[in-house]
Amino acid sequence: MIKETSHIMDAEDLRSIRALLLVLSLSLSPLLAQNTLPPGSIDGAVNPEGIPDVAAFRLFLGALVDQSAAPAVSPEGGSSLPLQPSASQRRKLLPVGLNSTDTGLLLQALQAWHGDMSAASSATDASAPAIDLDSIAQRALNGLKQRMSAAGFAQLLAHIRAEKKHMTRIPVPDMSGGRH
Amino acid sequence: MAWPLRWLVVALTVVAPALPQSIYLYRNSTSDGTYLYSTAVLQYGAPLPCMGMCSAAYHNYAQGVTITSPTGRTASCSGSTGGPAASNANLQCEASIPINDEFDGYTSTQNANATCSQVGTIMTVLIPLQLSLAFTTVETVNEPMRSVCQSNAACTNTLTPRCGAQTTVIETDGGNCHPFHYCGFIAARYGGAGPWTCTQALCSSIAGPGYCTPQ
Repeated sequence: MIKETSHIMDAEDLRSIRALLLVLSLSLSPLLAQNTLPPGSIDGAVNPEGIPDVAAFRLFLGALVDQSAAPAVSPEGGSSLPLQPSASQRRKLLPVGLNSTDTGLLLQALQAWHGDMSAASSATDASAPAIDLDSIAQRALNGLKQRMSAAGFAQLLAHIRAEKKHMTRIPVPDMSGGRH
Repeated sequence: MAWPLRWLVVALTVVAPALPQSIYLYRNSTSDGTYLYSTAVLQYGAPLPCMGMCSAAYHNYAQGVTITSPTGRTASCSGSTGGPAASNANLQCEASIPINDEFDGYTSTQNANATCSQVGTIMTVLIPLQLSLAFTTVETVNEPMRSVCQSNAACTNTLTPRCGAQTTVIETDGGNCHPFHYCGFIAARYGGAGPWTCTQALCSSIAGPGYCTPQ
């Protein structure tokens, strides 16, 4: 009798536990999803050295592009004068602390980079040779190193490296070998 | 081509690893004192060369960001694109939400996913960032020849402001350092833990100490 009662209670317990687990899994699943990155991912907040400088630079430029604004123009139309940042760009550049000359040079590089990126991202022919995004960004970075003031370039690089904490690198399966 | 050289070329071709493919995500948050902004970026770099299944695969990418205020107001943006796996991708969007006197307890969540016609889903992520608008009144030191200014906290309500140790003020209007700048800083940290990182958002000149968001 005791054994039978105990058996019935176990079954009820099992049902309760199962229900509890279901409720828990449903309620926790959004949290688990939020905290899980795919295997092999690199969280720049934990492992900033896993984000190359050149990749961080192109992400920074990607955020700096102002989709809603008219293209940046030189004041009074003069090509030798520095470009003026939009309000959105000004907010993003504020923490970098560049002077107006270096800011103008960075915006020039941004325009050129964005043009190259658009061309590199719009190809729809799989047989066409792909363009390496890092090479485009490296070219822009090299140009800025030559043209910006040494102090300004150092500030820019320091800021981009600090921003790696907001960057994530997620691996994509290698499909070049014919299987995953 | 001489045989030894030909074999060397063949060997290098076989041994050399393909360039790693990655999707990069980036979240950038700023404020002008009236609005809080979050920009989300997704970039995919196609492999060089794109061979095998890659040459026949088609990718779709989608990403966006949602800002949620302490009282549950939301603002979001999103975008998507698709193309051959041999092509690069670059997505960006910016969401903004009025601050409306809510300072503490924002969340900015970047969501992104990518699918491949050959293998299905290759990425689904939600990355939340806890944000707070931490205001700190700082008294800048008078440094007439400098535009990056040292400062001291000048708070009326706390001795331990959240951004007290990180409030270097940058003069971006072409002027030099001058005293009594009231500056807004945006503080961010992951997952509700760890140190706050503070970024200068907006400054205006006032006379005297003011409110500071405590730690």
